[in-house]
Parts: sequence; C-alpha cells; structure tokens
Amino acid sequence: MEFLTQTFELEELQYFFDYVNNGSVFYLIIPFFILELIRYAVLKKLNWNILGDSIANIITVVAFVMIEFTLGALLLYKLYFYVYEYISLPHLPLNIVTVTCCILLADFAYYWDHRVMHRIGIGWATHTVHHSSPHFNMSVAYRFGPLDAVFPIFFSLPIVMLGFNPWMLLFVELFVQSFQAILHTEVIGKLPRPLEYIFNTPSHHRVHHGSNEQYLDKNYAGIFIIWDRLLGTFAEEKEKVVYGITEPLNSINPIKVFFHGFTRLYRSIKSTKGFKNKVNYLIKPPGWEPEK
Amino acid sequence: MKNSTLLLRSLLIVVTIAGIPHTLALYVSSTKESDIAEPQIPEIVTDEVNEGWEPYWVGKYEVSFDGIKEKAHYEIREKSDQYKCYSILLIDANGNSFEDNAIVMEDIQITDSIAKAVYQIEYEGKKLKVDSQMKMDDEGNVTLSYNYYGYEGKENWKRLEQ
Ligand SMILES: [Zn+2]
Repeated sequence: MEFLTQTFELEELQYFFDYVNNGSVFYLIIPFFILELIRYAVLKKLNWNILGDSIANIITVVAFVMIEFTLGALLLYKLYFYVYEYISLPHLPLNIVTVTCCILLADFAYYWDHRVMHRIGIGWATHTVHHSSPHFNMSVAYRFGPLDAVFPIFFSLPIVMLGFNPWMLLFVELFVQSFQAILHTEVIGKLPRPLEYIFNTPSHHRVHHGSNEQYLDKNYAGIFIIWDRLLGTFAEEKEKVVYGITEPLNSINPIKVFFHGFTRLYRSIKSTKGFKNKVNYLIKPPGWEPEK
Repeated sequence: MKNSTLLLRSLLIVVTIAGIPHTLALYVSSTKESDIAEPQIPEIVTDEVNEGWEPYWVGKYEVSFDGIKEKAHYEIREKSDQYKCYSILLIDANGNSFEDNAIVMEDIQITDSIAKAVYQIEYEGKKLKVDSQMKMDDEGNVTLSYNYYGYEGKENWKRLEQ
C-alpha cells in the first residue's frame, strides 16, 4: 500500500512525461512514418499528393503550436492557477493514484471535447481540418485546426477545480495527445481482443476518420475506447474505411487546409437570413440547414 | 442514447474517478501528517546563534540563484517601519553588470533572524508572486527559499560590506 501514497516531485513527473510525450516523436512517430512511406512505395501508392498532404500537415502543426503558445503565455497560465488557487477542491498530493486518476479524467474530458467539436458548427469548423485528409498516416495526427487548442480549455478547467495540479494535468493531456497520435496508421491491423475492448486502437481510430455512413461521429476516444462503449458512440471496423470528410477538400495548400472549416462556416452564415439562423450555424451539428 | 442518460453516466464517471484520490488523501491525512502539494514553504532549521548577536536586515546583498550563473545585488531598505527589498544591480554570466531598480519585496515581515515576504520573481517571462521565507545566519548572510507548485527555489544572499 505504501507505494500508492508515496508522493513525488513535480520535476520527476515532468521528466517521465517529457520522455514519453516529446521523446516518442523520435523513437516512435518518425520511424513509423518512414515505415508508412515505404509501405506506400511498395503498394505503388506513393505520389505527390501524399507527400504534399504530409507537408501541409506539418505546417498546420507549426501554426497550431504557435497559437497554443501565445494563448498559454497570455491567458491559460494565469487562468489555470487562479482556478487552482481559488475555486478548487483541496489540492491532491502527487502520487501514483492521483496521476492514474488524472489520466482517466483527462481522457474522459478529451472524449467530450472531441464529441462536442464534432457536433457543433464552430467546433467542426476547426476540427474538420484534422479529418479533411483523404489519407491516414502518422502525419495526419499532426494536422490541426486554428481553434483546436481553445476547446479543450473548457473541459480541462473542471479537472483543475477537482484539485488536480495544473502542471500535472498539462503533462497528462499531452500524454493523451501522444497516445492518440500513434493510432494514425494503416500499418497495424487489429490487436488482441482484450486490448481492442479497453483501449483505443488504430482500428478504432480508422473508423473515426471514416466518411462511410455507419462510421460518422463514432469512436471519439483518446486512450480508452470504453468511454465510447459506455456513451453509445462505438462502432467496430468492418467495411473498408473511406478516409476524409463527406464534402471533400481536394487541396494540399496548407493555408486552405488550415482555414477551410472557417471559410465554409463563414459562407454558410453570410448566405443565410435571420440572426437565429446565423447563430444556429455555430451551435447546431455540421450539415444543419435552416428550414425552408 | 437519451441526454439525461449521457449526463448521468458522465457525472457518475467523473465523481468516481475524482473521488478515489480524494478519499485516499483523506485517509492518509487521517493516519499521518499529509504531504499535500500546495505551495508550501520548506521549513528552515533554526540553529544555535552567537550570543549577543543581533540580526540586522537593512543593507546590501549579493544574490546567487540555484542553477544559473547570473547574479544580482539586492538592497533591503527601511521606510517608516516597513522593510522593502529592491533589486539594484544585475550581473550577467560573463560578469557584466547593469544597474537595476525594481522592487522585489513590498513588505518583509521580520521576526529576529527569520523573515517572510511575498517575493516577486520572473519565470519564463511571466511575473509571479510567491510566498518566501528567509533566514539570516550569524554572519548576516541570508538563505531564501520558496515553493511554487512543486518547483522549489533557493537563493543565497551574501552580505556586502557597507
Ligand atoms: Zn475527430
């Protein structure tokens, strides 16, 4: 029992998560991406569109990280510590139980954040970027939209209110993202059934990226697929997945890729009449249209 | 799935997961002094001091920070019974010095050789206020320590001759 309550320093935690979160880019993501490129080449599928698409993906992640940093430096930092200091349950000690529960909660928050981004217009305007690639490989994991850093705030602040250290939460959220990133591959088929039952896997996540009717708005999970099973959004990979969005983008221009969700949303709002209809475009699910 | 079912299940999940570490923390604090990760000031052990020695805080100090080469000179000044601390000189890693005039502590609470103050520091470009504790040894040098959400800071203030 002793090890459950043994506290550790934030630095130790940071050291561990840095190794997993930042390190994995070098020992997992990049080698895997090279493997995927070789696979494309062997299957004679390697072409300029895939390469251009991958480059566009890397450019969106740079833009995304810049937005994230500016936002973090200006606002989040103060907001999180203010909430932690003044509107939080008693602060939890850093031990293995707290970290485990923090991972579970952050993952559950990720599920809801992700689900909301799919189901309201303004959320989809940013998240559609991630889904707009017709390919599915490691570089797609890094394809982000302009406001992808904003939505998670609303879902992680409640975790700070529950007494979890904001630094720890930050490391853990990056961990959820890192886990999610390695799922973006066609190289791995299905994993053993117990794993497929509990964890989000490449197979489950391929479904999430499908534009096939029965795969739409399914498998929102980050690390644990159990949230989808519990909340009615699970679908198994059966039919071959067609990647992308229902209204294809057909572009590898990074600027178009990054902003297309917002330009589409703006066009819909501009062309509709009535204030209520305009607002509805922001909060109703994508595909919603005013009654004629 | 009905919205009410979604809400109920979600609440149940959150309450259960957040409840576990809180219950454990309560259990631990009921059995022993708990180690809660709040901003806490590390205790400084008070050791024996020379007899007849009186701590005198006002004056100039050379400040060295844990793990970095840059140094600074601080000065504690007394004005109408209030003790304030200013940064008066900054020394970079190459030994070049620049004049400075910035307040780092507004109101130092002194009890003999121990003092407490809100310390204004810069961390990665952001200005922060942290609770700090200082202890003076019998040669007039000061050790300062603070804890900012788990990040521990320590500084040595060497008394400069007047
Ligand atoms: Zn998605």
